[in-house]
Amino acid sequence: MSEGIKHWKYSRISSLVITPLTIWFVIFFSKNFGMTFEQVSNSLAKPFNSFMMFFFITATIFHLQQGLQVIIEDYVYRRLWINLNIIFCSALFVVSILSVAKIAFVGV
Amino acid sequence: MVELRLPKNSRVTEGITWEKPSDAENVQEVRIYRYNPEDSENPRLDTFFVDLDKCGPMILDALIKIKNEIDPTLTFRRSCREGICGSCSMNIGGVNTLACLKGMKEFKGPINIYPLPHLPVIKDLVPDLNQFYKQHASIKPWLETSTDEPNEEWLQSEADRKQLDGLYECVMCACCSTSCPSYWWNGDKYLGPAALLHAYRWIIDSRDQDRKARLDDLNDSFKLYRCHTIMNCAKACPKGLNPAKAIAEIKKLQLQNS
Repeated sequence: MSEGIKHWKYSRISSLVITPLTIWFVIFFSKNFGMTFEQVSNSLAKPFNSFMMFFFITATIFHLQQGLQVIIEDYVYRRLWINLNIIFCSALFVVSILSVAKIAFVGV
Repeated sequence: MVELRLPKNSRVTEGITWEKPSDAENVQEVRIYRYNPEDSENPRLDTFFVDLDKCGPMILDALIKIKNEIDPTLTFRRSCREGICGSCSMNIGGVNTLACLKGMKEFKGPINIYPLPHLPVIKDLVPDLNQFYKQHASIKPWLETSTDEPNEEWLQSEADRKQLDGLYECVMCACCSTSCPSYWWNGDKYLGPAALLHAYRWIIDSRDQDRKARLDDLNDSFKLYRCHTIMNCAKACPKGLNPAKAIAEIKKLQLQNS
């Protein structure tokens, strides 16, 4: 599969995956709205919530990277910007996942 | 790459206001983009007044009248004057269309006429369509076959022929491609709605034997996938065709092919 259809397919698959995860995220967020930092951390540390947050972050950041690449290709096509976007999204992914892992396994 | 302002030497200035016909009762004001490559001046917007009682009903009639009776240097393309040749495509009242199919009565107030957007201008309302034609040629707009030629002709069932309806009618006027923001920003790499409509016309032709190669050739993030279903193409097409649908169909076939 070469670049064109691959990118198009991945964007659509990731958007489909994000839809139910976003519903979960909104429910999780509204349940914890107004809670203290410890209460939110404890809630996120529950296995199901950590698991869902992991998938939510993975799918969302992947979709973000794909979407930003389209914008870069549309408006300012430069290989450098596309690579910077990959680096930025990868860093965002690593930091987010480590944070969730720390809350889930080590605690705050 | 995106360009949000015209280059300094392309910005349009106020032009000449030509005299109103003295004895006319029913006058239409027409403002026309003028550019002459032989002088170093910026493009300008000239104002003309057309006596509607002595002119045909279409915009093209007004342009011909202006050229014949007011300013013979006004330059525009035209041929069939009935929507078949696609020559008189231009931006009229902010919309790309064919001057021969657009009636003057559809407008209230002055009518602004510019060349097709985001193309180099050769003179007045004549844009440079070289790139557009090259892109059309790149999709191989002819029957590709590998089997022996039949004795008489390549036959096709009525149902297969029906699939070409809504595609073969394209007159290559470039109204769709030049209304597409993706084509404005990446017109050198993105093929644009017109070329892709033609590509689909050959991909689904039951007599063509090169479908896979045609689909493979379009599997490129720029040639095809710059289309973001903005739909300006379908809105602009003076023949009522839907290039955006053809592009979506190519993407579906790409998916099956992948």
